[in-house]
Amino acid sequence: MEQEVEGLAATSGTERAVLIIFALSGFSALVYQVAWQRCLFRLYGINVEAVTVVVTAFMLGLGLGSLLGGRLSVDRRRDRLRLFALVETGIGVFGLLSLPLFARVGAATLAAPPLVTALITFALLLLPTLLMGSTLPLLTAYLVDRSGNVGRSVGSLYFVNTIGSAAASVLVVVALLPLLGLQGAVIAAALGNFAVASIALRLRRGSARR
Amino acid sequence: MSFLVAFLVSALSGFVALSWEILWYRLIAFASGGSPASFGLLLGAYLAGIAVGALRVRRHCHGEGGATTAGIAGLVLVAGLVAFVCAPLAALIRVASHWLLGLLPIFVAAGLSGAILPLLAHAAIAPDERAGQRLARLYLGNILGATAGSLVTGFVLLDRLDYETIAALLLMLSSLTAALLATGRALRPDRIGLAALALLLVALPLSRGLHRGFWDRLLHDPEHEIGPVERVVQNRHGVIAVTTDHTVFGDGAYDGRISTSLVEDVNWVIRPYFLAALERRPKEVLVIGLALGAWTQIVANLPGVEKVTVIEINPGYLELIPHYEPVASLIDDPRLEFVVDDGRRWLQRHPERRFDLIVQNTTWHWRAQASNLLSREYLELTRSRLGPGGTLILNTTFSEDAMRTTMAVFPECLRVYNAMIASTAPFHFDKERWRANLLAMRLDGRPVFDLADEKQARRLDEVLGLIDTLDSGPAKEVIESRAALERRLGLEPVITDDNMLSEFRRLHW
Repeated sequence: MEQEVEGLAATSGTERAVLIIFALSGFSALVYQVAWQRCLFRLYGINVEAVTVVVTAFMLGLGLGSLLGGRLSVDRRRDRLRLFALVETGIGVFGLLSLPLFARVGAATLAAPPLVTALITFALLLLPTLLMGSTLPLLTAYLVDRSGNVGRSVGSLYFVNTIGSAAASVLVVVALLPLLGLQGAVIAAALGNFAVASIALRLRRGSARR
Repeated sequence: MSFLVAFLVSALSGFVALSWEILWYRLIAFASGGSPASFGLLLGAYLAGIAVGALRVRRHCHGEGGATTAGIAGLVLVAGLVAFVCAPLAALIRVASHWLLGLLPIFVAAGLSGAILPLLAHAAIAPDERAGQRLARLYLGNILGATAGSLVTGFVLLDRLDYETIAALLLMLSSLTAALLATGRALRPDRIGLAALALLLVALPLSRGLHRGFWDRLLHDPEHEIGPVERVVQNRHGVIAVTTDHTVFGDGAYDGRISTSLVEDVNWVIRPYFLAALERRPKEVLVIGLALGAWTQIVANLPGVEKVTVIEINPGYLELIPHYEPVASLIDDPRLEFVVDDGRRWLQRHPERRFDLIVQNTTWHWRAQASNLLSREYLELTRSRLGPGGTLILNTTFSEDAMRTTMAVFPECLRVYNAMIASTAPFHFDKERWRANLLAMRLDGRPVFDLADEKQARRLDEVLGLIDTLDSGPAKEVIESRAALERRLGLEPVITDDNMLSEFRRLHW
């Protein structure tokens, strides 16, 4: 384990910074997942159908987003860090609007049949999860360009992003929700996205100068 | 390794991994009694395991080298085996220590599972300009598998099979995935079928043996002696266990005792019986949260009740009720209508319905999502469904926040033990009316009190004495007026949808 952590430490300053912001990105994503699940359960009920729809929407959104990110990452002429920053900004903006949006749509569609409710929930979650899913391939392509090693790049990114999510899943229940409430937790996650985007843009400018 | 095989393995691993996550959530939720922290902590342990697993395999991803296909196949098999023994291990740990430590084997199992995707990616993807795109496809395969896992396991398997059988099926699937990797190509369907059958013949008895006494161990509580589990209902909504002394546990949390006897009153049924002391005679009743039906049986037999609509989220309770004599007749009572739904959603979707009495004996206030049925917004919704002079009885499960929230929404309130009786119009209670109603009430044709029995006659006087305890202090087994409650508890803070105070004021571990 120490070897691996040392391995991470041995990466360049820019790569290390990329890994740190990707951990923060994973943190925010999980805060949203918990907050949105709670909000949607309240609107549509905590039955297993609702749980399954939310989990499935997240999974498929992330998967399709991964495809989208993969497609965008192929072209080396594209500025992957800039794209990543744009994606993070988009997630943050959606995050800020999310709870009022869910409440309005939930109130308007209360009497809808279950299938329509499931489709609406899916549609609500598709845009942000698509954006979230696109981040891994974008950053993988960026790091593979620099290191030439797929396994290490995927492993590192996957590790930091998942560690960020793991930390969030604990902190959201022991600190964020108790101290900030649902809306406060979502605002904190959005601020995380904006911080990630601004650091990514700064890194991009730094790389361009070199 | 061909990309197709890597894609298939990625999808199958995703299916197995997410299926285990669903099973482990069931396990940890049950072991913790439904702590709001259980989902976050399980997810934390699971994701941290995956992350550490992904990190640990970095050393096997140097240049052209990497784990051999056989090595990855071995890893898939070992990951499946470790996942398989997680639940029995967590149950043993629960008996010896705290449920939190049961997350350790889950962390290890998730770590092994998390190592699979990076190794596959390294073995199947060349480090060229298309690496991001190919990784995306492999990742998509994993996510599609995980999605299928959540749908098939969460929606279909959990509704039809018990934990032990699903665990055996997942072990079988991991073994087949390892075989796919080891052979490097998809086998013929008939051979896959035969292999699956052979594996199941081994895995099923193994799983039954390993999980013997499993639910008893998860319910282990040195402070409260309970009998062994005699019935378990498992469905996609959760796990209900009933012990030989007729104590009911819903997803590991005490749900109550199956008794309607006010003579013994082992489960504080004096609370719903107190409704018979009020001057009101409800005709139309709504029950939110049936569980094993003791409260429903009592309110259905209050004088004057004509119709009872019962909302229960888990249909498993309806399967159990016929087995228990004090409540069995509920199922055939033509005045009762059972609806399987989320209580809050049902109220929201039926704005046209009005009730004389709403009875809410739902779960512990500290459990995950419990604030959805205790918040100010929810209680305002409840108030809007009461007819003129309608009454709410709400089990606060000792939550002072829930008592304050009830006072914030209803001008008229009375605490009876840990239940709040609330209304928008003043209500009155008196001892003589209560005595007459209790003596008139029959449950399954039997009187609540038989005055020919001296012990029961004495007990009736003792029960009626509750009215004399009004505002005698903060003790549990008394009644307390709104004015006294206000003085004692104040009016702030209250539970809202945003602060979820009942769950997060003091996190229940």
